[in-house]
Amino acid sequence: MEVEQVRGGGGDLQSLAPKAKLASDRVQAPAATAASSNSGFITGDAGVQWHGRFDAVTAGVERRVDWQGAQVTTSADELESCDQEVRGKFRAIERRIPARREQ
Amino acid sequence: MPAYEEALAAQPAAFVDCAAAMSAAGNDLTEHRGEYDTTVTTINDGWHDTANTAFNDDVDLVDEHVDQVVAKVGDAAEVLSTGGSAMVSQVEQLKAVDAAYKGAGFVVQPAPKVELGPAHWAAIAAAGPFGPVLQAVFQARADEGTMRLTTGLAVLTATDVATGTSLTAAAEALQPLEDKGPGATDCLPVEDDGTDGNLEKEERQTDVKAQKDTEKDTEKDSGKDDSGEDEDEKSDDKDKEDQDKDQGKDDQDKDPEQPGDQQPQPEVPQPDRERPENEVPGFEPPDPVGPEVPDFTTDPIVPGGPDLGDPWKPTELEDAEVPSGGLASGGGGGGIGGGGPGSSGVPSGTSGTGSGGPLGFVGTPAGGTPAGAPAGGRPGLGGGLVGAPGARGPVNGDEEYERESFLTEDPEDDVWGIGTDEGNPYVDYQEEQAQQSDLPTLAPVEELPPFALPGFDLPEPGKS
Repeated sequence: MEVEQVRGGGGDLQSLAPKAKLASDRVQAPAATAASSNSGFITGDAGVQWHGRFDAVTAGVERRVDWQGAQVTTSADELESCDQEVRGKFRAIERRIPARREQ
Repeated sequence: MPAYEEALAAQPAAFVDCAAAMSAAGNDLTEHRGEYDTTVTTINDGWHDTANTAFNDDVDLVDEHVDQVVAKVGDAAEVLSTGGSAMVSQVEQLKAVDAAYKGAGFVVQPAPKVELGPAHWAAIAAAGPFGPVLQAVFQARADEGTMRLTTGLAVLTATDVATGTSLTAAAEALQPLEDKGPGATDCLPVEDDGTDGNLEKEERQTDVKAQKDTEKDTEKDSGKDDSGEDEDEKSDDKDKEDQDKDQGKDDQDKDPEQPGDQQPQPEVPQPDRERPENEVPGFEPPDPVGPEVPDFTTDPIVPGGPDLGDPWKPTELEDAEVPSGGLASGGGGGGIGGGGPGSSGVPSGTSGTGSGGPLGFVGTPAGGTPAGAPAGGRPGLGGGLVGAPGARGPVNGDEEYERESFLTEDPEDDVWGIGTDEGNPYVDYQEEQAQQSDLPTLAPVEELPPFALPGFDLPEPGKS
């Protein structure tokens, strides 16, 4: 694993996540306008209702993508720490081996 | 369902605008998915392991979900765009008809209903004899207008209902992606477990508080009742007295039963006691045969049951062994059937505790009242152990048999998990007896005298 690349990708995912909400925000005002300017129409209320569901969907996508980014970042961090630990062990072994070779 | 005036004032173009926004939102999601996939590809380039596989599985779920959402958004936008466009034209037609009739001097009621206007009535009045004919012509035009407006409004309403229903269905079809459970991750559960534990603690605390509150409430209620309802209490006291009397009668009635309840187990052997006493002199062979049959049934089925478990406990052995001396004499004296059951006890003893039953039942009543207390507390086989040495007192072979049985069955007790203290066979067992005796009560008693006795004894003989 290229830790920095993966960690950066996790950050990109987390920064990308909120953009899903923009799709919902784009619909909010037109839906509200259509409902208010067409009083008595079922379609107006249905549009507002639809936006509510759509907003929930985009929010779910946002949370999921954000969660994925967090998991990716965490995995990168864990692997880095594990890598450092193994590196330390290898260095410890490395310190022993040359001494025996010199002998 | 819009009213006529609402339909005239409607701006269905807003629906079309909203549909356009929805389409744009679908495009936004598509773009978002593209960026998302690009980022995922970047991540995958530097990450290859099982965790990455799981991550990509989840990514596929998100992609599939987003695709479905985009498709549904596109469908909803198309529905709304089509319906909105239709409503735009229908409203325009409605407005055109309305304007045409109003321009012709008709009065349009919001029913909708077209009526003759003042100009028409003036023309009718001016027509003179042709007035009714002219009125009929005008009225026919007005009725036609009413029908057109009503039809237009009905079509508009139908379109609105169809579009709205479809849009509502499309909204219900939008199912948000389920949030990833924190339990599915390797990182978050720790925090969640902590929170759960805290929640449990909080709940427990709340429960404790609730209990305290309830107790306080009950106390308050009881106090209020005591202060408030004296008359009722008096009556209640009378009732209680009556009840007490009744209970006293009941208690008297129950008195012969209660000792029976308190000592239910000795009652059970009592008929057995009577039976062997009566039967031992008369019939020796049926005695072992009768009780042995149920004993065999009970022994193999429940080998580690309470019947065998109780008599091998160290406490009972201690109790049994300590008074065994007195019981030995009592049993010896009471060994009325000693010759009979003693001889039968040796072979039946090999069969198990069943033989100890009749022997103990013979010994305990013969042993007298002092042995009755422990024998009553742990009757049955405990009594068998107590009675056994009594009957075996005169016979040396019985004592050897008992000792052998203890020796061989001590490790078995370890297996049963009953006599872990006895597991350290006799040395440790005696030490444990001393420790057990020292720890509870005897320790201060025994420790003080040895220090005190030489202190007093030495000076006394020194002085004397």
